[in-house]
Order: sequence, then structure tokens, then C-alpha cells
Amino acid sequence: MKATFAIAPNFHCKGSWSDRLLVQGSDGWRAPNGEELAALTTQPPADDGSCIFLFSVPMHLRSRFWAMLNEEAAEGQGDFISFSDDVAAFLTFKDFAPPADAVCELLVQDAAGQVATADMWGLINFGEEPVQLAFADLQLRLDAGEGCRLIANATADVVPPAGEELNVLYAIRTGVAADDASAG
Amino acid sequence: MISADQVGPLELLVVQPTPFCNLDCTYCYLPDRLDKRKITFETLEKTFNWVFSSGLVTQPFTLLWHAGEPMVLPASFYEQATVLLEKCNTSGFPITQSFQTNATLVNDAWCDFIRRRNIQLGVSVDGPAFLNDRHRVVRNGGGTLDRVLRGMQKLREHEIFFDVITVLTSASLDYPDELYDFYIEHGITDVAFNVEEIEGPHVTSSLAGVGMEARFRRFYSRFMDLAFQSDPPLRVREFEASRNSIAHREELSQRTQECRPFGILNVDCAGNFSTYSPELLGLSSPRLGSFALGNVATDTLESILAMPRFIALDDEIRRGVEACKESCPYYPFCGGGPPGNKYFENGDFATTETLSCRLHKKATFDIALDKFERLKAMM
Repeated sequence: MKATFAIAPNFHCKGSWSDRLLVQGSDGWRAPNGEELAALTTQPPADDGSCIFLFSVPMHLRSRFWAMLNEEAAEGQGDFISFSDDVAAFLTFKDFAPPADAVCELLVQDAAGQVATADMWGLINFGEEPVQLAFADLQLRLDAGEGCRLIANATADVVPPAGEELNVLYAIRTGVAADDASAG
Repeated sequence: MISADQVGPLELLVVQPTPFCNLDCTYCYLPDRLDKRKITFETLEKTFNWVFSSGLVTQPFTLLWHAGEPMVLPASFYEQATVLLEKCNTSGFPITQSFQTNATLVNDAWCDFIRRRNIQLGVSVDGPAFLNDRHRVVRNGGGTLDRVLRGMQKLREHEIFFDVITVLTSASLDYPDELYDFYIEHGITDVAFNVEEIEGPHVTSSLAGVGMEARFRRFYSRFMDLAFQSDPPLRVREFEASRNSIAHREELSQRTQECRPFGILNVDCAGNFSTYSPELLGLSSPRLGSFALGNVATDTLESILAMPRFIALDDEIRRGVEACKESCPYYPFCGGGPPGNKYFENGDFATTETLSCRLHKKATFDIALDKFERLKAMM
């Protein structure tokens, strides 16, 4: 099944789908044409779980994320639980609450790292650089501060960053994080 | 006849330098935004002389240039107007000048004038482009945020403080975080929220639908939580008003500026004047006639106070305030709903609750009270 994409209701994301999606062509990855875009994207529907939702987190949460990491690095006082509560409060306000038993984790992925996504409700790019999510025959770019609510039947891989770059990700999992979820 | 001691004192003089606006916001209540007339210095002098000879000036007041985009006229116009004001001001009280502007026409000359004359400035902007440019548009429908941001940047370069008024529509209510980000990103420290009101030619509001009050409350509560978190806290006019109304409950149980005759004087570019809600100027009622009561060139305050049309208008507004007093538990903190909203929504000044009351007064007050109680519990 081909995944369909939409901006999550009550969210605003900059840019266009033609700019953020790539499809597998005969000569490699390319931007989708109009017909492909029409098939791949949709207006925000009622959330019946069939659609991959793109969303964005506000700058104040992104600043808070980095402040938390700095506090952790400096004094070991970074409060990830409190930060996760703030993320949950924001998503809940948007009527986009993660499952009640969701578990959140910080992932830092390097060029050799793998990220398990099978039990992932959603993923947020808290880094400053774009992150590519690869589905069967297409890719979705998550810009800084953007997130994606995944669906069960469209497995995604997080494309490792090139060279010395790191992907800085916030994963929301639907259950206890799998042992192999940590990045390389 | 209403006696002179029952009116005023003047707190706000609203002068319309021109009805014209270079923007065409979808929710605007001003009826003549394409009208390029401008007030003459002769009319302005008559206005100032009328004000200072009326007996209404017994304390300092604010002169607000509004009801059209004031910056359509050059800063040099207001420089001359300021000289005229100083010449006519026989009261000895300092007069604060204030501009409510869309900021798209701010330039160095304006900044120089604003700084030199210590002008208070309010900028109208509705947040990030996806919100602002939905309603705050030019006549070809194009968005305006880029121009507003250029104006705000120019003000900041000249170290000019300004506050911001944002009109909330139904679309805004899902985006408190995005609005908060916008204010922080652009160095805005003082925010006022207006709600999209039903006024004059703007006969509907996106906030009038079912469930909107609950959405508004949710929005405002979330926004205030964010505003408290910022360092320094983002000041929100509605929250400060709630705080003041709790602190000064006894004073607010009197008729408010907007409900009291000649607490506000509104003068259009031709010298016609009204009182009570500024939105009434330029409009009329089939039942009560024009809300313009007279002209600064021809009518004295005494003649207005004896005018049956004014007496009927004041009586209806007074009955509306009395009805608020008798029926509304928020009255001690409010002093009566805005007459303009009552008329435009209910067709009668002698009525009580409006959309503006429900959202702008009651909801914001309840949420402020809730936040105070939570803060108190934490102390």
C-alpha cells in the first residue's frame, strides 16, 4: 500500500509537498510530478489512522529542548520527563495527543546508526538539519522542528546523516522502547 | 437635558485624520476605507478648541489618531498638528498622543517624529503569515505581513517601543503556541487581543459559532500559560485588565469610559463627532438616527446635552448599563458591556450580553482568576 500524507489538523507547516517528498525514479530520487503528488497527498481528513501526518513543534519547545540538553551536559539536571510533559501538553492542545501509554526517548543517530520505527507513534526532528524518512519507494523530509505521525502499515526508516552530521530525534513509541531502538 | 456635571471627564479623544486605509482587512468595521479625504488644519483647530473650551478636560487625556490608517498622512502633518494641539491646549494638562497603525508605512521620518514627540504606538498584526495574511490583506487580496515586519524592524532600529493588537478569529484559536513564538521572535513584549467583533458593516464573526467560547477559553488559557513562562513575562492587556479590575473593583462599578457620555469623544475628518464606542462614528440607526451628534464647527457641548436624540441615546445606553448591573455577576469587574457591541449585535443599547462580553470580558476574567488561584496555591 502506498502511504498518503497530510498536514495534521490544527498544525501549520511551511513549504510544499513537492519540495519535501521524493519518489524513486528510474534515475534515482526525484520530486513527484503533479499526478503523483495528487495520489500521495490529501487534505487533512478525520484521523482514521490511515494517513501519515506531518506536524511542527513551536520554536519555544525547540529552545526548551536544547536548554534541557545544555542543563544535562552542564550539571546533569536536564529534566527530560518535564520536557516530555510539555511536548505532550502541546500535542494534546492540538487534539493530537500521543497514546496514553506512549514512551518518549531522545535519539541521536550518526552515519552508522539505525533507528527502529516499528513501534513508533511519531518522530520529531529537534536537530537543526533536515532528516529524511524513507518509505518503500519514497522519502519524506522533516525540516528542523517538524514531526511525523507514522502509521502501522507504512514502515519507515530514518536515513542516517552523512559524514559527521547527527540526526537529533525525539521518538514517541506506543509501548516500551525496544532494546534495539538506540542509535549507533 | 443632561447636565454638564453628568458627562466626562474626557479620557480619550479619537481623531480620524483620514477614513482611508491602505489595507482592506476582511473583518474591518470602518465603512469608508476607500475615502481619501483628510482632516484640514482648520477642522483640527476647531476640534481642539471645542475640546478645550467644553469643560470636559479636567485631567490628562489621550489623543488617539485612528479610524483609518493614520500613517497614510505624512509625519510632517502630525508635526503641524502637534504644534496646533499645543497652541490650543489651555488646560495645562499633558496630552498623550497615540497612533494605532498597521505599520506598513513606517519610515525614518515617522520614527524621528515618534521619538521626538514621545508618541505611543500600537501596531496591528495578527501573528505569523498563515494567520495574519488570511485577513489582513491589501485590495488585491495579497498578504501584508512582510510589510508590517519591515515597519516593526524600522521601529526597533530606532529603539521605539510599541505594543501589538492581534485580532483573534476562529482560525487563530488553534495556534496559541505559534502566536507566542511570533511575539517572542519579533521582540514583542506587550500584546492585546481583540476578538473579531460584529460591528457596523462587519455583520458576522467567525467566533460566533457553536463551541467557539470553549475554544476561545482553551486558547487563552494555553496562551497565558506560555506568557507566564517567558522571561520576562509577556504582558497581555486582557490579563492586566482582569488583574486591575480585581484590584479596583469599587472604581470599576461606575460607568466605564465607553458607557459614560463624553468619556470618549470621536471626531471624524469632517469634524462630525460622537461619543461612547468609537465604532459608532460614521454609522447610523434607523431608530436613533446618526450616531454623529454634531460638528465641532457648529455645535456646542451644551447644545448636544439638550438634544433629544442624544438624550434618547444616553437613556438607552444607561438602561443597558443598569441591565448589566442587575443581571451580570461580572458587572463589578466590568462596569457594563461596550455599547457599540450591544447595538450591533442586539439592535438595542438597552441590552446586556454580547459576543465581546462572553469572550473578551468573561472568559478572560475567569481564566485570569483561575491562574491567580493556581499561583496562590503554589505559594
